[in-house]
Amino acid sequence: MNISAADVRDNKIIVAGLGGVTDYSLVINVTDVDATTTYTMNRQITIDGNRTAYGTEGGKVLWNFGTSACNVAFQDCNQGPVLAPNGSITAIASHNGSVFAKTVTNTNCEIHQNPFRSQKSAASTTTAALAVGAAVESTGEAWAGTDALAFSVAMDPDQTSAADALPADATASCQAGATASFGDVTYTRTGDYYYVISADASAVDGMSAPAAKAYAHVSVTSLDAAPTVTYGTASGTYGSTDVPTLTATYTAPSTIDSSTTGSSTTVVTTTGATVSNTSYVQSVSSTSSLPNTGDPFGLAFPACLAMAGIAIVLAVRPWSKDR
Amino acid sequence: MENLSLYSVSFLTFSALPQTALALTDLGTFTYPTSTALESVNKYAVFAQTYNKNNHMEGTIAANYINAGTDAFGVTSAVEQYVDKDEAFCYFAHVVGLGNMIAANTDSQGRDWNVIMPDDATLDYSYNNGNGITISHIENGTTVSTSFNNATDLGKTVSRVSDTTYQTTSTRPSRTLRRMRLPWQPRAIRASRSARRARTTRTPRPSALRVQAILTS
Repeated sequence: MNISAADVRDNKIIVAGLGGVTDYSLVINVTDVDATTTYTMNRQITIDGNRTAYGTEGGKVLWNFGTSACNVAFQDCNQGPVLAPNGSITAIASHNGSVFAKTVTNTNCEIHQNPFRSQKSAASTTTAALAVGAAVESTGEAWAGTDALAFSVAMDPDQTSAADALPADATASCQAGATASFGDVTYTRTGDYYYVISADASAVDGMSAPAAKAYAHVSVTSLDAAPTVTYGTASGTYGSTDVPTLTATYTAPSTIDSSTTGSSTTVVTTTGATVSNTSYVQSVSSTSSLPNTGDPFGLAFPACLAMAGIAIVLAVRPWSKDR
Repeated sequence: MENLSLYSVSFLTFSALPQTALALTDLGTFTYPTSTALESVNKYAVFAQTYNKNNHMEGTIAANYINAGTDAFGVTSAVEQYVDKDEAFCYFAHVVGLGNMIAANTDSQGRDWNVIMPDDATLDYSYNNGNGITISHIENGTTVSTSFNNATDLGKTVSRVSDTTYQTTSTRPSRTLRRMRLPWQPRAIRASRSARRARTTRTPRPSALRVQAILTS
């Protein structure tokens, strides 16, 4: 996280893990450093409620001054290793934390070795898999298709996760009645992770993707143990370990029987479905006693016959006169 | 891992003297800082181009120049839990005020760290009937020295920069450290600055490290 040098100077700093978590590390990037200003950090800092001379909590927080040519005196803000490769750091109160800087001075006080223990470099990981079931609810004729329904998973924006952690492929699909499994999610740090699982728009005619979403909570309490995965139907509400099911709605397509007698045509819907929604029309059966000329009223064929007769009459008369 | 940030570390620009043909004392090697870790740098209480030791301190030191005060230095029992005994050094490439360097701390094992002195220092082991050590060099044209009744009163070993394996690589990290890179700073800062330029009021995401830092006046 970033905090300006002035804010560090002017404010007490309280560092605590969310939800009482203690196995964390924090890098505080001290920004907006004026190289011409000497900052005296004389407001207290507590880490996990402690402010000690040698405690392990001192190694959780790294003061990172980046490349700034800072001039900083650490007084009551006296916990946490300091990194200021181009800076001048002076301890004027005993400091529970190592100091790495271009120039280091301790005056009338002590520097106590306490390295930065970054949790970020932890090699341990644990994994969990998220899944969702697929179902189809039909209106009218039952859906008997085999098309797969597609789902995607994302971090739940309404919840604060320990970090963004998603499977390599955040999409999965399966047929109705089956379960779509997303790939393993790898977790490198403990904490709570929140997800929302949505159904993607269906490519199947007549299939409406479920508007409802499924929500998942992954609790990683240790990188040496499998996380706990629970699901819910609303963000922030979890409790079931059963894989949730998202149900798509299928409205069976209409069948239109078009029969023509002479110049009249009748159109009859056979399923009662909405005819006006042509996307639901799966097939059209058309019956007629006349050849299929593309003329829905059947006028072209008789007209052609009449014109052909006239042409014959006109052609025969000169020939008969010559004879 | 995120993009790297630039850390123009200019300390520890060693000026090693010509090496002798003597076998080097194997004290391990310095591990370069990487994009993900401070590595050997993190093994020290103080790592500096210049260290003005004006008071007592507790821990190991790596300094190109140390202005040695009279107060003791080195590992104590209180901090030894944080010290890697396999890479515990008090490493001084140059010393100013060598005569003030008169006391070292003790940890539960005595003095379980190695001392590396400047190449311009002379190590005389004849002091105290061959039990002690006198370290001397010239400061401003005058020979300055400090003595210990036992060599182990300073550290479990005492060497010079050019005489150890730690030196052979530690001259390189000095260059590497000038461009030391760490992973954690830059992207977030850049985002912050660009956000300011855009004059947006978007609230930053909560710390991805699951830590809440609360500012109170």
